[in-house]
Amino acid sequence: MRKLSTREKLLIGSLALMVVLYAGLEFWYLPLTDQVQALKAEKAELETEWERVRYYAEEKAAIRQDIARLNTEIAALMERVLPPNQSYRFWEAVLEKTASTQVTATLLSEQDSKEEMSLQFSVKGPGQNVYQFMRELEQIPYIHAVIQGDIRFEEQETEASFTVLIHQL
Amino acid sequence: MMASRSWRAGIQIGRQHVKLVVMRKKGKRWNVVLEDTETAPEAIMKDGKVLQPELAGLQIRKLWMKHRLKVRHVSVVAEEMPFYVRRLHLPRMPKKEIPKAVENKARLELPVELRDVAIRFFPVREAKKEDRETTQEYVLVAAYKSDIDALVRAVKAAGLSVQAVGLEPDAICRGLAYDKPDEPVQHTRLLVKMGANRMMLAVMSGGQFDYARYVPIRGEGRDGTEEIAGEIDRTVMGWEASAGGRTIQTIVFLDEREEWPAVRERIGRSFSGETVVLPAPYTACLGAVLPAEGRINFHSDPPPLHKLTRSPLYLKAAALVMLAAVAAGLYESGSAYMLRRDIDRLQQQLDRNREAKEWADEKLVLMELVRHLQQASDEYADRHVSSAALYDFVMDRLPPGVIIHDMAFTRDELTVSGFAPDQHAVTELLRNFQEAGLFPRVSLVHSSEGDGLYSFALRLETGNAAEQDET
Repeated sequence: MRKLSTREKLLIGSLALMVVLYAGLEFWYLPLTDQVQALKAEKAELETEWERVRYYAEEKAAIRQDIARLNTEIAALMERVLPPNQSYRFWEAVLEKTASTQVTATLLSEQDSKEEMSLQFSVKGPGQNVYQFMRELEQIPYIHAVIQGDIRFEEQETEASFTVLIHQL
Repeated sequence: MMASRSWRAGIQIGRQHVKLVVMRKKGKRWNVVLEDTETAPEAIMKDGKVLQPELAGLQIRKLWMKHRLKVRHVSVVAEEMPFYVRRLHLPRMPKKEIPKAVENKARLELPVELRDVAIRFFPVREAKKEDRETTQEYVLVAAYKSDIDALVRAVKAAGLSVQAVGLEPDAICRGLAYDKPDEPVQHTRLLVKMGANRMMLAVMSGGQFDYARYVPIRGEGRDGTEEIAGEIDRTVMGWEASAGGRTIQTIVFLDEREEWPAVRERIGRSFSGETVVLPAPYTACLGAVLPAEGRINFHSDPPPLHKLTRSPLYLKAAALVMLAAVAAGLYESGSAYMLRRDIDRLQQQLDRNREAKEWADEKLVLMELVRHLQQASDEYADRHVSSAALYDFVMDRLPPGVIIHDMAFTRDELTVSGFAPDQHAVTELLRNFQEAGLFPRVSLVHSSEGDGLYSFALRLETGNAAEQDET
């Protein structure tokens, strides 16, 4: 077999060098740089988290106090939220008000949806009593909103109907 | 003992022993700091070939353990290792062509296949004056690769790496040059050393190794003396005949041996020069350790940097490119390693403070729940229409004689209907509502007379309803 000249050796060597460099770049260096970038991002994320956690660690006592305060606040707020499937509580409150103001409840109905409940009811009685009932209705503690109403004034008595929305978890 | 560039170690492997010399550089001179011998329980060499590299490695290891040596790069020389030596005359030629020319000459001169031997050569310093301008004389030395490999394996078996594999006669010459620095360089000596099986005859000329051979000695007593003296005579005559007028001035008998007095007496009859006996048990080992230019080194793995400095420019450039690429890759690898270490450290810190994080998360959840509940409360308060307040609003603004019959309300509007004694009362009621300013748009839906009373209907719209209408 003929021996290769220096120029041929040089060409083959250059080609081999380029192949090796390309392979190294493609399969070693570039994946490595990608990995380094990913690691840098992960480190930055962890550093941010660490800064936050370090602050938490320093403020541990204050956080515990805040948790206790928030729990108290939530307990107070939760008393105003009607639990699911317990609409009877609201009806009981309405009937209590009708009894105290001496009006008669003539219709009760309800419609349930995802986060709120729609109630319709009517009351009848002397005008002043119905007015008193309307005032008392404002005092029901559950989170609710009267969104529609109709008050008809007759000679002897007044009839009022209401549509109320109630928030529930 | 410390391991650094100022320390060197050399090993000499004999038939049943391993010798060690350690030198340390102080100033510009290398000084011997340790000489020792470890005896093997059985033969580790035969005829200059290492038979059991592992056993030899074990003996070397013992020496290293005994003296707690830290030197890891050693030179090694084997006693009586077979070799070929030839003198070559080559015409003057460019330096880079010399190796090829020597190889071609070696192919003709040596009785072995070139692929089986490692070849080294060096120029003879004292070329003949008349030939100096046209030719250059070289000494060619060749040793079997298998013997060299066995030596390297023995060193590696001891957990060390090889710096150089030397040749015994060359190492002895250089060891003697170190021991006798005052001797004139031009002095030519024949070195005689009796080995386990064979006698070494080496010529040291111009301060360096010139020629050597091993000869087997079978005779004993008087026959042995004659045989040794005969070989010495033949070597002296043979070398002087080929050396172009140079003569051997001194015959040096190495080590104290019982046959040397008789041999010296016998040689004295035919040799006009001086004969001396030199006890030098560690000379070969010493010569192997000494750093010197032109040393015969059969180790075929010279440092890459050394190879590179002697390579052509394009190879240097290619190596530089590769080096840069590898350095870039290593830098990235190092970065990745450092980043992983930092990430691990951060993870550990986070793990240690996990409780604080859980509390903080719990606080966030609770805050979110409070916000949700308050938002719901505010939203319902915003949507709520107070019927009692509307009632008060309407009743407070009724003119005398006006009666309300119906009040219907949504979040957007309030419709009030009733009866009034005349149209003025209706208009007054409309004015009262409009001037109250609570509802942006107040309008009269109708007002009509019937049965002596005027029925009316008014629409009071909130801002939302008004905006929807305009849209």
